[in-house]
Amino acid sequence: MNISEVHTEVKKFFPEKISDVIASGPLSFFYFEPEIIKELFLVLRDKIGMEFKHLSYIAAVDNKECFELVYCLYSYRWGNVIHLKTRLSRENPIIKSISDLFVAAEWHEREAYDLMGIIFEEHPDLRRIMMPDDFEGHPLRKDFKEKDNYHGIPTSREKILGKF
Amino acid sequence: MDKEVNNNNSVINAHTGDLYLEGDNTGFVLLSKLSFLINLPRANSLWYLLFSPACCGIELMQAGGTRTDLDRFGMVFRSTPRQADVMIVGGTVTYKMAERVKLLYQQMSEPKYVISMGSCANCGGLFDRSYSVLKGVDLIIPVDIYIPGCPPRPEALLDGLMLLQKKIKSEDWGRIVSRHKARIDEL
Repeated sequence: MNISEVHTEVKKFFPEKISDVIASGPLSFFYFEPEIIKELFLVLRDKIGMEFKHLSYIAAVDNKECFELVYCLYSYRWGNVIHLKTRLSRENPIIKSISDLFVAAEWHEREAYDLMGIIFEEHPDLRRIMMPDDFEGHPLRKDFKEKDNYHGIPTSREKILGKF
Repeated sequence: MDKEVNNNNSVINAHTGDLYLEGDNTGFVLLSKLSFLINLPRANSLWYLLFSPACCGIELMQAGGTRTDLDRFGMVFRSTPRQADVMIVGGTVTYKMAERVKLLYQQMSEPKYVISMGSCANCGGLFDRSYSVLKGVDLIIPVDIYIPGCPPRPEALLDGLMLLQKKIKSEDWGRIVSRHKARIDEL
């Protein structure tokens, strides 16, 4: 079941909330509105004929105007992946968690929160997964500025060979 | 053993330049510097801490294998910092890990040595611009030997350990004791 077949199926449920398929070869995708995420993923997971039971990854992208979340789903039945994207505003990047639908989402969402600062509502345990708990800021954001020191440890080193 | 037998029937061992044996057929008198006698076993029983933050640890394991056998230098790993003499920081040290590295170093008993193994531990290496990686382990603990490479081959690590042995053999015991006291005063 490829992305355009999924799109026509899903379009019946959410006619207004879904964009057209944007072709990019095997990575073709469509955008969806963030507020329908739980219903959309429930349909994709449980509707007979779709059965995308496996969440491969959640990626977060900072493209300066907004944040983009990329969801990659895999279907054991059809043996293919689909990519779905959604846009969140930079000022208020909040979206509902899907960790109750896909258990794998829990850590991926924690990672997106840790490095990109996206807040997932109704997440059971939303805290940093890689950076130290007292780290300030979200390092993969484009406007992230590194501090001079971390707990008194300097974060830069004098270059003995000058600047490169 | 290189021997020179002189007319007075005393034997002088000129093998190392530090150790002198004198005597006749009934026995020997051993004359040496105290530092030499203390440093000789210290240099030949370097126990290293079983600790490595990243992928240089694979080369460290390889150096303990049969080809460059660390055991023949009296080097065995210890799982606790309190029994270790030398800490081999093999790999990328993140800020999260840096505080643990410092804690491990503080738990080691004097005299203690640190080998910085690989580019990451030397200066941050590949992760020079990273937000989470310490730019050189010498920013938190004093380092005795730096080994370049990404990762260094076991031979390079062995060379570094032999350099450390050389350094230990050249040390003056009195100075080590005073350095120990100075470090305690710092704490």
